[in-house]
Amino acid sequence: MADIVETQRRFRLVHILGWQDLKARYKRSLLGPFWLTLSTGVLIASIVLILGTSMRIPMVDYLPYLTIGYIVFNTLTSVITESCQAFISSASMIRQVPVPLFVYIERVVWKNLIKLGHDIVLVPVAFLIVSRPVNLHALYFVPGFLLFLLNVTWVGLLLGVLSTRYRDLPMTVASILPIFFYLTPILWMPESVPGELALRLLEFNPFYHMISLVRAPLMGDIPSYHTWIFCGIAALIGWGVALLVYARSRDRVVFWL
Amino acid sequence: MSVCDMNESQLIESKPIVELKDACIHFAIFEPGARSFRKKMIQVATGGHLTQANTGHVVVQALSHVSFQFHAGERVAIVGHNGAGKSTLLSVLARIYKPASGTAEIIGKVTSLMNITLGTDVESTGRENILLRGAFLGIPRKVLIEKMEEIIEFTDLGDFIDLPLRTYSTGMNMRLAFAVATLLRPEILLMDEWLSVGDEAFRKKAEKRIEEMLETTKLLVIATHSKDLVERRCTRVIWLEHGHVKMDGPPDEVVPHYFGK
Repeated sequence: MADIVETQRRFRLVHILGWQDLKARYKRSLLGPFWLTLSTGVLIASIVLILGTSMRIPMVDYLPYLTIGYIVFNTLTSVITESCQAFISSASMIRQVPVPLFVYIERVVWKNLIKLGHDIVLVPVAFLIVSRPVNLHALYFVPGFLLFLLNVTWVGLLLGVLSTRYRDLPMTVASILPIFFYLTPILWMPESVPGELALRLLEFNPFYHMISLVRAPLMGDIPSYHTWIFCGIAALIGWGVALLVYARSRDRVVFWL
Repeated sequence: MSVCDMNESQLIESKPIVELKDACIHFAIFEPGARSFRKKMIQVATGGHLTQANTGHVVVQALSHVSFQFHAGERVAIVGHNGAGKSTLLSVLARIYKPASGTAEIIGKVTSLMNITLGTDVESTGRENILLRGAFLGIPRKVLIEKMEEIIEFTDLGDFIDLPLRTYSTGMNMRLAFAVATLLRPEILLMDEWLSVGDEAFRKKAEKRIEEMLETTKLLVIATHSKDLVERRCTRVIWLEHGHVKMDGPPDEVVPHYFGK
Protein backbone atom coordinates (compact mmCIF):
# COMPACT_ATOMS: atom_id res chain seq x y z
CA MET A 1 0.00 0.00 0.00
CA ALA A 2 2.77 2.39 0.94
CA ASP A 3 4.40 1.53 -2.38
CA ILE A 4 1.37 2.77 -4.23
CA VAL A 5 1.37 6.05 -2.35
CA GLU A 6 5.10 6.39 -2.92
CA THR A 7 4.53 5.79 -6.61
CA GLN A 8 2.18 8.74 -6.79
CA ARG A 9 4.90 10.88 -5.25
CA ARG A 10 7.22 9.72 -7.97
CA PHE A 11 4.69 10.27 -10.70
CA ARG A 12 7.20 12.36 -12.62
CA LEU A 13 9.24 9.20 -13.18
CA VAL A 14 6.16 7.26 -14.29
CA HIS A 15 5.30 10.06 -16.66
CA ILE A 16 8.74 10.27 -18.24
CA LEU A 17 9.03 6.51 -18.63
CA GLY A 18 5.57 6.17 -20.08
CA TRP A 19 6.17 8.86 -22.65
CA GLN A 20 9.55 7.44 -23.45
CA ASP A 21 8.05 4.01 -24.16
CA LEU A 22 5.58 5.54 -26.54
CA LYS A 23 7.98 7.91 -28.22
CA ALA A 24 10.65 5.28 -28.65
CA ARG A 25 8.70 3.68 -31.45
CA TYR A 26 7.97 6.88 -33.32
CA LYS A 27 11.12 8.83 -32.76
CA ARG A 28 12.27 10.67 -35.84
CA SER A 29 9.01 10.11 -37.66
CA LEU A 30 7.06 13.12 -38.76
CA LEU A 31 3.70 12.32 -37.24
CA GLY A 32 5.13 10.76 -34.09
CA PRO A 33 2.55 9.10 -31.85
CA PHE A 34 -0.20 10.29 -34.16
CA TRP A 35 0.73 7.35 -36.32
CA LEU A 36 -1.25 5.45 -33.72
CA THR A 37 -4.33 7.53 -34.39
CA LEU A 38 -3.88 7.23 -38.09
CA SER A 39 -3.46 3.47 -38.18
CA THR A 40 -6.38 2.93 -35.81
CA GLY A 41 -8.46 5.22 -37.98
CA VAL A 42 -7.58 3.35 -41.15
CA LEU A 43 -8.41 0.06 -39.49
CA ILE A 44 -11.78 1.23 -38.24
CA ALA A 45 -12.59 2.72 -41.63
CA SER A 46 -11.89 -0.55 -43.36
CA ILE A 47 -13.95 -2.58 -40.88
CA VAL A 48 -16.83 -0.20 -41.44
CA LEU A 49 -16.51 -0.55 -45.17
CA ILE A 50 -16.48 -4.33 -45.05
CA LEU A 51 -18.87 -5.10 -42.22
CA GLY A 52 -20.86 -1.90 -41.83
CA THR A 53 -23.03 -2.45 -44.86
CA SER A 54 -23.74 -6.10 -44.18
CA MET A 55 -24.61 -5.63 -40.51
CA ARG A 56 -28.05 -4.13 -41.04
CA ILE A 57 -27.28 -1.68 -38.27
CA PRO A 58 -27.71 1.99 -39.10
CA MET A 59 -24.37 3.66 -39.64
CA VAL A 60 -25.29 6.39 -37.17
CA ASP A 61 -25.13 3.70 -34.48
CA TYR A 62 -22.48 1.43 -35.88
CA LEU A 63 -19.61 3.81 -36.59
CA PRO A 64 -19.40 5.42 -33.13
CA TYR A 65 -20.11 2.06 -31.48
CA LEU A 66 -17.29 0.34 -33.31
CA THR A 67 -14.87 3.22 -32.85
CA ILE A 68 -15.27 3.44 -29.09
CA GLY A 69 -15.40 -0.31 -28.61
CA TYR A 70 -12.31 -0.90 -30.68
CA ILE A 71 -10.23 1.80 -29.00
CA VAL A 72 -11.22 0.78 -25.49
CA PHE A 73 -10.62 -2.89 -26.18
CA ASN A 74 -7.22 -2.01 -27.55
CA THR A 75 -6.31 -0.12 -24.40
CA LEU A 76 -7.52 -2.98 -22.26
CA THR A 77 -5.55 -5.65 -24.08
CA SER A 78 -2.40 -3.52 -24.37
CA VAL A 79 -2.35 -2.93 -20.63
CA ILE A 80 -2.91 -6.60 -19.96
CA THR A 81 -0.24 -7.92 -22.33
CA GLU A 82 2.29 -5.24 -21.53
CA SER A 83 1.95 -5.48 -17.79
CA CYS A 84 2.89 -9.15 -18.08
CA GLN A 85 6.29 -7.85 -19.19
CA ALA A 86 6.30 -4.84 -16.87
CA PHE A 87 8.94 -6.19 -14.51
CA ILE A 88 10.67 -8.54 -16.91
CA SER A 89 11.50 -5.86 -19.44
CA SER A 90 12.71 -3.48 -16.75
CA ALA A 91 14.85 -6.13 -15.07
CA SER A 92 18.08 -4.19 -15.27
CA MET A 93 16.52 -1.09 -13.74
CA ILE A 94 14.83 -3.02 -10.97
CA ARG A 95 18.11 -4.68 -10.10
CA GLN A 96 19.91 -1.35 -9.89
CA VAL A 97 17.64 1.36 -8.59
CA PRO A 98 15.42 1.05 -5.54
CA VAL A 99 12.13 2.30 -6.94
CA PRO A 100 8.75 0.94 -5.81
CA LEU A 101 7.74 -1.84 -8.20
CA PHE A 102 4.32 -0.36 -8.66
CA VAL A 103 6.01 2.38 -10.69
CA TYR A 104 6.56 -0.11 -13.49
CA ILE A 105 2.90 -1.11 -13.54
CA GLU A 106 1.73 2.46 -13.52
CA ARG A 107 4.18 3.14 -16.32
CA VAL A 108 2.35 0.61 -18.49
CA VAL A 109 -1.06 2.01 -17.56
CA TRP A 110 0.09 5.57 -18.11
CA LYS A 111 1.67 4.78 -21.45
CA ASN A 112 -1.58 3.29 -22.66
CA LEU A 113 -3.57 6.20 -21.31
CA ILE A 114 -1.46 8.55 -23.39
CA LYS A 115 -2.01 6.26 -26.35
CA LEU A 116 -5.73 6.29 -25.65
CA GLY A 117 -5.53 10.07 -25.53
CA HIS A 118 -4.31 10.02 -29.12
CA ASP A 119 -6.81 7.45 -30.30
CA ILE A 120 -9.75 9.12 -28.64
CA VAL A 121 -9.53 11.92 -31.19
CA LEU A 122 -11.25 9.50 -33.53
CA VAL A 123 -14.38 9.36 -31.38
CA PRO A 124 -15.59 12.93 -32.01
CA VAL A 125 -14.62 12.44 -35.65
CA ALA A 126 -16.86 9.38 -35.84
CA PHE A 127 -19.70 11.27 -34.15
CA LEU A 128 -19.30 14.14 -36.58
CA ILE A 129 -19.26 11.92 -39.65
CA VAL A 130 -22.62 10.41 -38.82
CA SER A 131 -23.73 13.64 -37.05
CA ARG A 132 -24.85 11.81 -33.97
CA PRO A 133 -25.76 13.92 -30.95
CA VAL A 134 -24.42 13.21 -27.47
CA ASN A 135 -26.83 13.48 -24.54
CA LEU A 136 -26.32 14.14 -20.86
CA HIS A 137 -25.80 10.47 -20.10
CA ALA A 138 -22.31 11.02 -21.44
CA LEU A 139 -21.46 12.32 -17.97
CA TYR A 140 -21.54 8.72 -16.75
CA PHE A 141 -18.35 8.37 -18.76
CA VAL A 142 -16.39 9.89 -15.89
CA PRO A 143 -17.25 7.38 -13.14
CA GLY A 144 -17.33 4.64 -15.75
CA PHE A 145 -13.83 5.40 -16.94
CA LEU A 146 -12.50 5.67 -13.39
CA LEU A 147 -13.88 2.26 -12.54
CA PHE A 148 -12.38 0.98 -15.78
CA LEU A 149 -8.97 2.31 -14.77
CA LEU A 150 -9.27 0.89 -11.30
CA ASN A 151 -9.91 -2.56 -12.72
CA VAL A 152 -7.25 -2.38 -15.39
CA THR A 153 -4.64 -1.44 -12.81
CA TRP A 154 -5.19 -4.34 -10.46
CA VAL A 155 -5.18 -6.77 -13.36
CA GLY A 156 -1.87 -5.28 -14.47
CA LEU A 157 -0.40 -5.50 -10.98
CA LEU A 158 -1.45 -9.09 -10.49
CA LEU A 159 -0.29 -10.22 -13.92
CA GLY A 160 2.97 -8.33 -13.61
CA VAL A 161 3.91 -10.14 -10.43
CA LEU A 162 2.70 -13.59 -11.48
CA SER A 163 4.24 -13.38 -14.96
CA THR A 164 7.64 -12.69 -13.50
CA ARG A 165 7.44 -15.88 -11.52
CA TYR A 166 5.67 -18.04 -14.09
CA ARG A 167 7.08 -17.23 -17.48
CA ASP A 168 4.40 -19.12 -19.39
CA LEU A 169 1.72 -16.76 -18.20
CA PRO A 170 2.45 -13.94 -20.69
CA MET A 171 2.11 -16.40 -23.56
CA THR A 172 -1.06 -17.86 -22.11
CA VAL A 173 -2.55 -14.41 -21.78
CA ALA A 174 -1.46 -13.38 -25.26
CA SER A 175 -3.13 -16.38 -26.80
CA ILE A 176 -6.41 -15.96 -24.94
CA LEU A 177 -6.94 -12.25 -25.51
CA PRO A 178 -7.63 -12.30 -29.27
CA ILE A 179 -10.50 -14.73 -28.68
CA PHE A 180 -12.23 -12.09 -26.64
CA PHE A 181 -12.07 -9.68 -29.52
CA TYR A 182 -14.68 -11.83 -31.21
CA LEU A 183 -16.55 -12.93 -28.09
CA THR A 184 -17.06 -9.35 -26.99
CA PRO A 185 -19.50 -7.04 -28.74
CA ILE A 186 -17.13 -4.75 -30.57
CA LEU A 187 -17.74 -5.64 -34.20
CA TRP A 188 -21.27 -6.75 -33.41
CA MET A 189 -24.04 -5.60 -31.10
CA PRO A 190 -25.73 -7.78 -28.50
CA GLU A 191 -29.11 -6.77 -29.94
CA SER A 192 -28.29 -8.25 -33.30
CA VAL A 193 -27.55 -11.69 -31.89
CA PRO A 194 -30.39 -14.18 -31.98
CA GLY A 195 -30.93 -16.39 -28.96
CA GLU A 196 -31.11 -15.95 -25.24
CA LEU A 197 -28.11 -18.06 -24.45
CA ALA A 198 -25.53 -15.84 -26.11
CA LEU A 199 -26.81 -12.85 -24.16
CA ARG A 200 -26.75 -14.79 -20.92
CA LEU A 201 -23.16 -15.79 -21.52
CA LEU A 202 -22.30 -12.21 -22.29
CA GLU A 203 -23.11 -11.30 -18.70
CA PHE A 204 -20.06 -13.28 -17.66
CA ASN A 205 -17.70 -11.66 -20.09
CA PRO A 206 -15.60 -9.14 -18.14
CA PHE A 207 -14.48 -7.47 -21.35
CA TYR A 208 -18.09 -6.75 -22.24
CA HIS A 209 -18.72 -5.01 -18.94
CA MET A 210 -15.47 -3.11 -19.02
CA ILE A 211 -16.17 -1.77 -22.48
CA SER A 212 -19.80 -0.98 -21.67
CA LEU A 213 -18.63 1.10 -18.74
CA VAL A 214 -17.04 3.54 -21.15
CA ARG A 215 -19.03 3.01 -24.33
CA ALA A 216 -22.60 3.09 -23.11
CA PRO A 217 -22.49 6.66 -21.71
CA LEU A 218 -21.04 8.02 -24.91
CA MET A 219 -23.67 6.19 -26.94
CA GLY A 220 -26.34 7.90 -24.87
CA ASP A 221 -27.20 5.07 -22.49
CA ILE A 222 -26.46 4.44 -18.86
CA PRO A 223 -24.40 1.32 -18.26
CA SER A 224 -26.66 -1.37 -16.84
CA TYR A 225 -26.84 -2.23 -13.15
CA HIS A 226 -25.24 -5.54 -13.99
CA THR A 227 -22.25 -3.78 -15.41
CA TRP A 228 -21.79 -1.46 -12.43
CA ILE A 229 -22.14 -4.29 -9.96
CA PHE A 230 -19.93 -6.65 -11.93
CA CYS A 231 -17.14 -4.11 -12.31
CA GLY A 232 -17.50 -2.78 -8.79
CA ILE A 233 -17.20 -6.21 -7.24
CA ALA A 234 -14.37 -7.11 -9.60
CA ALA A 235 -12.49 -4.00 -8.49
CA LEU A 236 -12.98 -4.79 -4.81
CA ILE A 237 -12.03 -8.44 -4.97
CA GLY A 238 -9.36 -7.85 -7.59
CA TRP A 239 -7.58 -5.18 -5.61
CA GLY A 240 -7.77 -7.34 -2.51
CA VAL A 241 -6.14 -10.27 -4.25
CA ALA A 242 -3.64 -8.16 -6.17
CA LEU A 243 -2.50 -6.30 -3.05
CA LEU A 244 -2.19 -9.54 -1.14
CA VAL A 245 -0.07 -11.14 -3.84
CA TYR A 246 1.94 -7.97 -4.25
CA ALA A 247 2.62 -7.60 -0.54
CA ARG A 248 3.71 -11.22 -0.28
CA SER A 249 6.00 -11.24 -3.30
CA ARG A 250 7.17 -7.65 -3.51
CA ASP A 251 10.57 -8.39 -2.01
CA ARG A 252 10.95 -11.58 -4.02
CA VAL A 253 10.26 -10.21 -7.50
CA VAL A 254 13.80 -8.92 -7.89
CA PHE A 255 15.13 -12.44 -7.32
CA TRP A 256 12.83 -13.90 -9.97
CA LEU A 257 13.99 -11.61 -12.73
CA MET B 1 36.40 17.66 8.43
CA SER B 2 38.95 14.89 8.24
CA VAL B 3 38.28 11.22 8.67
CA CYS B 4 39.89 11.33 12.12
CA ASP B 5 37.46 13.93 13.43
CA MET B 6 34.56 11.89 12.25
CA ASN B 7 35.87 8.87 14.05
CA GLU B 8 35.73 10.80 17.27
CA SER B 9 32.22 11.98 16.72
CA GLN B 10 31.32 8.40 16.00
CA LEU B 11 31.96 7.57 19.64
CA ILE B 12 29.21 9.93 20.65
CA GLU B 13 26.85 8.90 17.91
CA SER B 14 26.78 5.26 18.80
CA LYS B 15 23.66 4.17 17.00
CA PRO B 16 24.66 2.28 13.85
CA ILE B 17 23.35 3.59 10.55
CA VAL B 18 23.58 0.20 8.93
CA GLU B 19 22.87 -3.00 10.75
CA LEU B 20 22.67 -6.44 9.23
CA LYS B 21 21.64 -9.29 11.46
CA ASP B 22 22.08 -12.79 10.20
CA ALA B 23 21.11 -11.65 6.71
CA CYS B 24 20.78 -14.31 4.03
CA ILE B 25 20.28 -13.75 0.34
CA HIS B 26 19.69 -16.60 -2.02
CA PHE B 27 18.69 -16.78 -5.63
CA ALA B 28 16.48 -19.62 -6.68
CA ILE B 29 17.44 -20.63 -10.19
CA PHE B 30 14.20 -22.01 -11.53
CA GLU B 31 14.69 -24.40 -14.35
CA PRO B 32 12.24 -23.45 -17.09
CA GLY B 33 9.94 -26.28 -16.06
CA ALA B 34 9.52 -25.05 -12.55
CA ARG B 35 8.50 -21.64 -13.82
CA SER B 36 5.70 -22.95 -15.96
CA PHE B 37 2.13 -23.74 -15.30
CA ARG B 38 2.51 -27.18 -16.77
CA LYS B 39 4.50 -28.45 -13.85
CA LYS B 40 2.11 -26.82 -11.42
CA MET B 41 -0.90 -28.31 -13.16
CA ILE B 42 0.60 -31.75 -13.39
CA GLN B 43 1.40 -31.42 -9.75
CA VAL B 44 -2.18 -30.59 -8.96
CA ALA B 45 -3.42 -33.35 -11.22
CA THR B 46 -1.25 -35.92 -9.52
CA GLY B 47 -2.21 -34.74 -6.09
CA GLY B 48 0.83 -32.59 -5.52
CA HIS B 49 3.06 -35.45 -4.50
CA LEU B 50 5.78 -34.99 -7.02
CA THR B 51 9.04 -35.01 -5.19
CA GLN B 52 11.11 -31.99 -4.58
CA ALA B 53 13.69 -33.29 -7.01
CA ASN B 54 11.30 -33.01 -9.91
CA THR B 55 10.28 -29.44 -9.31
CA GLY B 56 13.43 -28.66 -7.41
CA HIS B 57 15.55 -25.71 -8.30
CA VAL B 58 19.11 -24.86 -7.61
CA VAL B 59 19.52 -22.29 -4.92
CA VAL B 60 22.54 -20.04 -5.04
CA GLN B 61 23.42 -18.78 -1.62
CA ALA B 62 24.82 -15.33 -2.33
CA LEU B 63 25.09 -14.17 1.26
CA SER B 64 24.70 -16.35 4.27
CA HIS B 65 24.27 -15.20 7.83
CA VAL B 66 26.00 -11.89 7.39
CA SER B 67 25.97 -9.68 10.46
CA PHE B 68 27.67 -6.37 11.04
CA GLN B 69 27.07 -2.79 12.09
CA PHE B 70 28.35 0.29 10.33
CA HIS B 71 28.58 3.54 12.23
CA ALA B 72 28.78 7.07 10.96
CA GLY B 73 32.29 8.01 9.92
CA GLU B 74 33.35 4.58 8.76
CA ARG B 75 34.93 3.96 5.37
CA VAL B 76 34.36 0.32 4.66
CA ALA B 77 36.06 -1.76 1.99
CA ILE B 78 34.47 -4.99 0.88
CA VAL B 79 37.05 -7.39 -0.47
CA GLY B 80 36.75 -10.91 -1.78
CA HIS B 81 37.16 -12.95 -4.92
CA ASN B 82 34.76 -12.80 -7.83
CA GLY B 83 31.46 -14.25 -6.79
CA ALA B 84 32.14 -13.81 -3.10
CA GLY B 85 29.02 -11.68 -2.72
CA LYS B 86 30.44 -8.16 -2.84
CA SER B 87 27.97 -6.77 -5.34
CA THR B 88 25.10 -8.58 -3.70
CA LEU B 89 26.03 -7.00 -0.40
CA LEU B 90 26.14 -3.56 -2.00
CA SER B 91 22.70 -4.20 -3.47
CA VAL B 92 21.39 -5.06 -0.03
CA LEU B 93 22.77 -1.77 1.26
CA ALA B 94 21.14 0.00 -1.69
CA ARG B 95 17.82 -1.50 -0.53
CA ILE B 96 17.37 -3.49 -3.72
CA TYR B 97 17.63 -6.95 -2.22
CA LYS B 98 15.80 -7.67 0.99
CA PRO B 99 17.23 -10.53 3.02
CA ALA B 100 15.21 -13.73 2.81
CA SER B 101 15.97 -14.30 6.46
CA GLY B 102 17.59 -12.04 9.00
CA THR B 103 17.26 -8.29 8.86
CA ALA B 104 18.93 -5.38 7.17
CA GLU B 105 18.36 -1.95 8.62
CA ILE B 106 19.68 0.96 6.63
CA ILE B 107 19.09 4.48 7.87
CA GLY B 108 19.43 7.49 5.62
CA LYS B 109 19.72 8.35 1.97
CA VAL B 110 21.78 6.01 -0.14
CA THR B 111 23.50 6.81 -3.41
CA SER B 112 24.99 4.03 -5.40
CA LEU B 113 27.65 4.78 -7.99
CA MET B 114 27.66 1.19 -9.18
CA ASN B 115 26.01 1.51 -12.54
CA ILE B 116 25.62 5.17 -13.20
CA THR B 117 24.62 5.03 -16.87
CA LEU B 118 21.58 2.92 -16.11
CA GLY B 119 18.21 3.98 -17.42
CA THR B 120 19.52 6.44 -19.95
CA ASP B 121 17.61 6.70 -23.18
CA VAL B 122 19.79 6.92 -26.28
CA GLU B 123 17.16 8.65 -28.38
CA SER B 124 16.66 11.52 -25.94
CA THR B 125 18.91 14.52 -25.68
CA GLY B 126 21.42 15.06 -22.94
CA ARG B 127 19.09 17.52 -21.25
CA GLU B 128 16.18 15.06 -21.30
CA ASN B 129 18.43 12.38 -19.93
CA ILE B 130 19.40 14.56 -17.01
CA LEU B 131 15.71 14.80 -16.14
CA LEU B 132 15.22 11.07 -16.67
CA ARG B 133 18.17 9.99 -14.56
CA GLY B 134 17.23 12.55 -11.95
CA ALA B 135 13.71 11.15 -11.76
CA PHE B 136 15.13 7.68 -11.23
CA LEU B 137 17.28 8.91 -8.42
CA GLY B 138 14.33 10.70 -6.89
CA ILE B 139 15.68 14.21 -7.38
CA PRO B 140 12.79 16.66 -7.60
CA ARG B 141 12.32 18.18 -11.05
CA LYS B 142 12.59 21.69 -9.65
CA VAL B 143 16.04 21.02 -8.27
CA LEU B 144 17.11 19.49 -11.57
CA ILE B 145 15.97 22.47 -13.58
CA GLU B 146 17.64 24.86 -11.16
CA LYS B 147 20.89 22.94 -11.33
CA MET B 148 20.66 22.18 -15.03
CA GLU B 149 23.23 24.74 -16.15
CA GLU B 150 25.57 23.71 -13.36
CA ILE B 151 25.31 20.08 -14.42
CA ILE B 152 25.86 20.90 -18.06
CA GLU B 153 28.86 22.97 -17.23
CA PHE B 154 30.30 20.19 -15.15
CA THR B 155 29.97 17.69 -18.00
CA ASP B 156 31.85 19.94 -20.45
CA LEU B 157 29.57 18.65 -23.16
CA GLY B 158 28.89 22.04 -24.69
CA ASP B 159 26.39 21.94 -27.53
CA PHE B 160 26.23 18.18 -27.44
CA ILE B 161 23.83 18.51 -24.54
CA ASP B 162 20.99 19.17 -27.00
CA LEU B 163 21.81 16.21 -29.22
CA PRO B 164 20.48 12.69 -28.74
CA LEU B 165 22.58 10.47 -26.55
CA ARG B 166 23.31 8.04 -29.36
CA THR B 167 25.68 10.63 -30.84
CA TYR B 168 27.78 10.60 -27.66
CA SER B 169 31.02 8.75 -27.13
CA THR B 170 31.23 6.33 -24.22
CA GLY B 171 33.26 8.84 -22.27
CA MET B 172 30.74 11.62 -22.84
CA ASN B 173 27.93 9.35 -21.78
CA MET B 174 29.78 8.53 -18.58
CA ARG B 175 30.43 12.19 -17.86
CA LEU B 176 26.77 13.02 -18.14
CA ALA B 177 25.77 10.10 -15.95
CA PHE B 178 28.42 10.97 -13.41
CA ALA B 179 27.30 14.59 -13.18
CA VAL B 180 23.74 13.55 -12.35
CA ALA B 181 24.61 10.66 -10.06
CA THR B 182 26.85 12.81 -7.89
CA LEU B 183 24.35 15.61 -7.56
CA LEU B 184 22.94 14.33 -4.31
CA ARG B 185 24.75 14.44 -1.02
CA PRO B 186 23.75 11.11 0.47
CA GLU B 187 24.38 9.82 3.96
CA ILE B 188 25.57 6.50 2.59
CA LEU B 189 27.67 6.22 -0.54
CA LEU B 190 28.15 2.88 -2.30
CA MET B 191 30.80 2.27 -4.92
CA ASP B 192 32.06 -0.62 -6.92
CA GLU B 193 35.74 0.19 -7.27
CA TRP B 194 36.88 3.78 -7.24
CA LEU B 195 35.04 5.47 -10.06
CA SER B 196 37.17 6.98 -12.78
CA VAL B 197 35.54 8.62 -15.73
CA GLY B 198 36.66 10.33 -18.86
CA ASP B 199 39.96 11.80 -19.86
CA GLU B 200 42.69 13.17 -17.63
CA ALA B 201 41.13 16.61 -17.22
CA PHE B 202 37.71 15.28 -16.36
CA ARG B 203 39.11 12.64 -14.08
CA LYS B 204 40.59 15.36 -11.86
CA LYS B 205 37.24 17.10 -11.71
CA ALA B 206 35.46 13.84 -10.96
CA GLU B 207 37.96 13.02 -8.28
CA LYS B 208 37.32 16.38 -6.66
CA ARG B 209 33.58 15.84 -6.84
CA ILE B 210 33.84 12.50 -5.08
CA GLU B 211 36.07 13.98 -2.41
CA GLU B 212 33.45 16.63 -1.82
CA MET B 213 30.78 13.99 -1.52
CA LEU B 214 32.86 12.05 0.96
CA GLU B 215 33.19 15.07 3.19
CA THR B 216 29.49 15.12 3.89
CA THR B 217 28.84 11.41 3.55
CA LYS B 218 28.56 9.54 6.80
CA LEU B 219 29.37 6.15 5.43
CA LEU B 220 31.30 4.91 2.42
CA VAL B 221 31.09 1.29 1.40
CA ILE B 222 33.26 0.32 -1.52
CA ALA B 223 33.82 -3.05 -3.12
CA THR B 224 37.35 -3.27 -4.38
CA HIS B 225 40.28 -5.40 -5.46
CA SER B 226 42.78 -2.62 -4.92
CA LYS B 227 45.09 -2.93 -1.96
CA ASP B 228 46.20 0.64 -2.37
CA LEU B 229 42.64 1.91 -2.16
CA VAL B 230 41.93 -0.07 0.97
CA GLU B 231 45.00 1.17 2.73
CA ARG B 232 44.65 4.75 1.65
CA ARG B 233 40.93 5.31 2.08
CA CYS B 234 39.36 2.81 4.37
CA THR B 235 39.01 2.44 8.09
CA ARG B 236 37.59 -1.04 8.00
CA VAL B 237 37.72 -4.08 5.76
CA ILE B 238 35.18 -6.82 5.38
CA TRP B 239 36.45 -9.91 3.63
CA LEU B 240 33.74 -11.98 2.05
CA GLU B 241 34.19 -15.53 0.93
CA HIS B 242 31.39 -17.63 -0.51
CA GLY B 243 28.87 -15.27 1.00
CA HIS B 244 30.30 -15.50 4.50
CA VAL B 245 32.18 -12.82 6.35
CA LYS B 246 35.62 -14.33 6.65
CA MET B 247 37.28 -11.42 8.37
CA ASP B 248 36.15 -8.04 9.60
CA GLY B 249 38.56 -5.50 11.01
CA PRO B 250 40.80 -2.51 10.42
CA PRO B 251 42.94 -2.56 7.24
CA ASP B 252 46.25 -3.33 8.93
CA GLU B 253 44.68 -6.43 10.40
CA VAL B 254 42.86 -7.79 7.34
CA VAL B 255 45.06 -6.60 4.48
CA PRO B 256 48.05 -8.88 5.26
CA HIS B 257 45.77 -11.88 5.36
CA TYR B 258 43.81 -11.12 2.23
CA PHE B 259 46.39 -9.52 -0.05
CA GLY B 260 49.35 -11.35 1.43
CA LYS B 261 52.46 -9.41 2.29
